Amino acid sequence: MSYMLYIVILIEIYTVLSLSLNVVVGYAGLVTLAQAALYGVGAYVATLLMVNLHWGFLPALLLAVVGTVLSSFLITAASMRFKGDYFILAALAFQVIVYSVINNWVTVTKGPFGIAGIPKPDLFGIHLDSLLTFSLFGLVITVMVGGLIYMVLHSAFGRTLQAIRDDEIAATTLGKKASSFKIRSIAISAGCAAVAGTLYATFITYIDPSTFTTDDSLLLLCMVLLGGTGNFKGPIVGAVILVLLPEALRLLAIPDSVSANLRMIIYGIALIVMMLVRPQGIAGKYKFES
Amino acid sequence: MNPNMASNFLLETVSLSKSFDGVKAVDSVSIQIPERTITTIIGPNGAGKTTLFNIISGLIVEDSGVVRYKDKSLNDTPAWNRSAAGIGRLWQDVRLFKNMTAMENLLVAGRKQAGEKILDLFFQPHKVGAIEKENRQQALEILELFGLAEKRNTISEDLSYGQQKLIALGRLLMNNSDLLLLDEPTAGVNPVIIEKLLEHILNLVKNGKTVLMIEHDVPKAMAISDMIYVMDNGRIALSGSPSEILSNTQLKEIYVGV
Amino acid sequence: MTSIFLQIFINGLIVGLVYALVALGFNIIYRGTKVFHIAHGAIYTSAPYFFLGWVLLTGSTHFTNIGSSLFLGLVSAIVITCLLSALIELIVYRPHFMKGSSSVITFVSSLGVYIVVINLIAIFFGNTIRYLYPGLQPTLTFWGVRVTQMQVIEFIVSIISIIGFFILLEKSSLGRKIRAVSDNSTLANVLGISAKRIRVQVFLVGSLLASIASLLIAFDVGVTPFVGMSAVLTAAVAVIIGGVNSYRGSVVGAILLGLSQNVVIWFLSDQWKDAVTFLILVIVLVCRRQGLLSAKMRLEEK
Repeated sequence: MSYMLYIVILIEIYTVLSLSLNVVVGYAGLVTLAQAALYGVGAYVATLLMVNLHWGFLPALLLAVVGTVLSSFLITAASMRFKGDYFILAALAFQVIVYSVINNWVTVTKGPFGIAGIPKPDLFGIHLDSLLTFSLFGLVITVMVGGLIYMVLHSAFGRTLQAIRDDEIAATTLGKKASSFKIRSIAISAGCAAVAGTLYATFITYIDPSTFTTDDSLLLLCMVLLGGTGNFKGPIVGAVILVLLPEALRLLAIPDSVSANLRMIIYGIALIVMMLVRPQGIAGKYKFES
Repeated sequence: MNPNMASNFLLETVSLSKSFDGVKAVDSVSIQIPERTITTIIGPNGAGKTTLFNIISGLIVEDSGVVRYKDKSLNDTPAWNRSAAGIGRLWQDVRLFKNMTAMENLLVAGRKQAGEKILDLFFQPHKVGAIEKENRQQALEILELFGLAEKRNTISEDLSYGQQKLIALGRLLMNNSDLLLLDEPTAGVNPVIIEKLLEHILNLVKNGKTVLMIEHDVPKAMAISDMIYVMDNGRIALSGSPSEILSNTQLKEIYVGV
Repeated sequence: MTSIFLQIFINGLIVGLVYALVALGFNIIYRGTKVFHIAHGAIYTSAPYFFLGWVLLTGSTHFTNIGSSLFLGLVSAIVITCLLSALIELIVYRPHFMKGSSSVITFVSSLGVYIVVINLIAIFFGNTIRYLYPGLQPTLTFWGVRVTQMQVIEFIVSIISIIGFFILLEKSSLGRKIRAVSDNSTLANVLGISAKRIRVQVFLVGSLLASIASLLIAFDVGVTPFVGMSAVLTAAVAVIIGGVNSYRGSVVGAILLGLSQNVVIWFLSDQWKDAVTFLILVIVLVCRRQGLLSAKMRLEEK
């Protein structure tokens, strides 16, 4: 039972990550390899506040969101000066630089040793120290974040964002300032990634840089691209696959040493095949047409 | 109609020039567009007509010269802000948002969009709802005007080409454009719809809009225009009323000579 | 004190020249096919591992001596790597080229190829570092600077390869065709140059350069399945800061990055290497959008 709850909590965290990444990849149409870095910024800010300054969960969460959103402006500021295709590079630059900082700024982040002893959330008098309560709490957060993203994507903002994605020039001549929409969609994505990061930190009670690498960004991108882009259920499908695939491999008695690589090979092949036959992913809607 | 009757022009370009790789795509082009008129630019392919439109829309920056709109230079106005000024663009290849319905294409073009401001979305839902309703109302009226009310929930790429062009025109109405830059509006459209399109264009001008068109269908253009410019190799070769242009022997040379 | 800077300079210059090979390969592939070939990193990684595979298969152990078996092994590794890249072009990129897929889709496919190849290598050879040259290298010292034998080889081989590349590009008919396709593929088609054949040839040339580079580095400091990402990103950044339209720019960019990386490695640590690469990218693009050597200014319009 506790194993199942563990899986459920992971699915919750990855659903939040996946939905947030989809705002940028599926709705703004920008492929980004920075999501793990944003996830990491959120996790580290929340952790440092809770561990070093003994802040409570909610204030730490709030500041983690604010901090991550602010950091996302570095990506957009850099990429606004680059042209369209270079956004990928700006995002990747952010990812690489953030990881280097997390990994090397040992005095603050303790580098590769990570930070342990992150307190479980303590909300309105309830101490969430059991798997069950945490999973329920995670569910509440996931639904709230999901609801927020849903509202945003189904509003005029979401509609215009998709118009810009589908034909930026036509949208510009209709009065839409593309850069403003892209910046805001990335900010929303960053804020939600920070929520996932805070959840993750308080769940595992230990974080280190190895969760927030370029390969992790790659994995998150695969998750969204395979599950489906440009609609709401695609990313959820992607999150479920991401969490369940390693478990499935374990059931097939594949040794752990090979399992991680095999998983990536499956993703890689799926990606190649998908882009050829079904670019919108398993359950998605947006096909990345030029 | 004498184009110099209006003392202030809605749109004016003064010696506009733009080169690409050493080739002058637009060469010292000066045109004057008075309000509530239809002006058409004709000329062979590659004459620089679309480039001129791109400069007016703000998508390309001119090398020299000025675009003046409502007597103000547009030099510091970026492309996205030119629509707010009142400049609208109809594309030669239509460019509707393929995955959206006809209604959604129109709604996106609405001038007021409170729902685009995220804070308003959450803290002023009533205002957002009201504006959305207004936009929806306006979109319906436009759909009815074009006789496309029953197609409102059709995905735009499933509409016929002529219908798509009408929706594209409808977007400009939603956007409250005063100056309609129409790039080959009749190209590829079947003759029945062409008549309707031209009728709509005439009505729009009667109701206060101004039209600057690029057209290949010279007779049709002549029939409804107040003023014609002939562009060739980036320059304005001829200008005048339709009758003046038609009687000008140089016209044939420009078209057939290439 | 100056000898430290000279040491850094020499180290940086040499590694920069090796990077230049990867960068030239990346650039020619991009200009010839318009593909952002991130799988170039996988190709880069493959060469040393194909060499290791050959070593295992033939049971050779005496590759410390420059002999025919070493030579054969290197050539086999390079040939197989180049064939792999041709295969990738044929089964992954070509269908998208024929379909007119967007560059995003092609890029993601390239990412998929990278992931598959790297992880296959990791499964067969493990994640830990493999050395192609056992033991320490003999070194040479001059002007207070110490260089290893391998560094000298890198220097010589890179320079010869770079010169060879430019000769190929500017003097040979293949080079002319590649330049034609890069500049204007529709016109090239009209002139009877088959875009399809050129695409394959461009991948072969690019992968040849990348294989030489990675073998040089692998003999110098070893190889892991993960070296490719850093190499291809450095190459991409070198191409961009040098100006996409300039091959010479790619060489200059690569040397610049090699120098900067070595300064950082010396004064900070190896860990900051990639961060510095990207920082330089950001700085160069923010200050001079078209790159350092490219003459063309970007059009404002799409």
